[in-house]
Amino acid sequence: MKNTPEEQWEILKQVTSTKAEKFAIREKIYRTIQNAPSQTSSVWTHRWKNALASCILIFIFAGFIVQMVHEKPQFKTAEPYKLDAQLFNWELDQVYSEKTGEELALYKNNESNQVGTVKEVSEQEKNNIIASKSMHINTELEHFPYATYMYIEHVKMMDVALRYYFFIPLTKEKWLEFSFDYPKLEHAEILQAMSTLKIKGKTPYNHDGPLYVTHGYGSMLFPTDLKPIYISPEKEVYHWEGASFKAYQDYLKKITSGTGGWKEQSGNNSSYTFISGNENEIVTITLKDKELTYEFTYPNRDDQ
Amino acid sequence: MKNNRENQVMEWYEQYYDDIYRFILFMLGDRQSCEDLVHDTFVRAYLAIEKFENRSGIKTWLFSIAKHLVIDEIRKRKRKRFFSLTASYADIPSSFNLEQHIEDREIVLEQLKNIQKLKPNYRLVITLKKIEECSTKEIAEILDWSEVKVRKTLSRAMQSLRKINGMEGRSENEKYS
Repeated sequence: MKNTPEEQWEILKQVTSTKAEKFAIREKIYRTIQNAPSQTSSVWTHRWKNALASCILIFIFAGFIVQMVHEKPQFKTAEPYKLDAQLFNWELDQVYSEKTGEELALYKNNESNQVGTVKEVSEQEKNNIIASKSMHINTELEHFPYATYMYIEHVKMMDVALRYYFFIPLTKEKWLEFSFDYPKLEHAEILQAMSTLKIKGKTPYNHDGPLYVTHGYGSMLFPTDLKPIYISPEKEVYHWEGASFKAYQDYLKKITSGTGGWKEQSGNNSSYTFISGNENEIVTITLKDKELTYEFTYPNRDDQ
Repeated sequence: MKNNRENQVMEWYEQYYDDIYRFILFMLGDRQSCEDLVHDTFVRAYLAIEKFENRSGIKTWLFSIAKHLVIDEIRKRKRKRFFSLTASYADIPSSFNLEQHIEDREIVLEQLKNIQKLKPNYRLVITLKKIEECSTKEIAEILDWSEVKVRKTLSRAMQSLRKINGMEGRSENEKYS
């Protein structure tokens, strides 16, 4: 064994990660940055929000004072939402809830492993959850049935890699928090659940058109009505309930106009190849009847 | 504007990735957290790029961001009491040519383990000085200490490391100067 101190420090200086690791972290940073709000606009937005919040507060307090002067005090009615298995439903039939204490545990079919949780949280609790976790994605999902704020936590557990959090405003004070564990549930299943959510007593928004989402940290868009058939790192096959020639063409157009700077490389009637803006990912998408297949390659990765 | 910032940070990533990765690895001793904190370091740099005033070098600034993150992580681990010194030392980065350098691998694993036994402040100065080859002035900037404090802490840290090496029974001759 080398014993001279300088030789040993020299050895420690040589420690580096693999190129694949460096590539993976770079991709993750790139995606996080893509999703990060513009700094300049956020400062101005923040200032405007503060001013607006002050005005609203003054307005509310004034309202309270007027009400106190003119009306007798009234007892508040109970909140209309009760956290139980009947509170909500979705089209992800195989996932159901069971009440455990103050929250609902989510299970898939009859498997004993819990795949998620639903609970009611206050604004403060919601903020604490977001601040205390290692959240890498923070976005509002557009055109979902309810205002839905999604966060993705990087989890270091044997059977969980990512934990999705969705916060939906339930009342003025309360939020409904849904959390799902990936890969206990696939990305497509999680997003299908949230895109088809119906809360009892709360009218959902029905978007006139298809919904698309990214999966995890990725920038490729996927329709929300996919059911996984086969998933591997290089290939994903889904049953696409809403598949049609027009839906497929609309979807392909959406890919190139969405985030990630995806460009079409080649294509025929059923199979199209796209390359990501940073040219690190190539995806070939094929539709056959209602079966949608994605084949992924990573040209700049050394471990290919 | 946003694209410029993105390009700038990704350029820094290419330039300083190895330094930041190694620093975090020797501070925390496990590879998974290392990946997460390298990510967080560059994302924070991106978010705070307008606060960077060129008073220090980019590398020094990135190290100071990484330092805050590793210190937070060490505190969290203490609170959660899950920090295990034997957790993942076998899992050192594989680009280190292990097949050709079995001896080197043993040295890395042993020193990674021994450095983890030091107090966080000792770990910081030893990693920055002996592995990252930062100057005393740069370390003082990164840690926001005086240069005198850096020198004193480094001296004590080296003494502690020698003791640990001695206790491991591996160092009849002093391994580190």
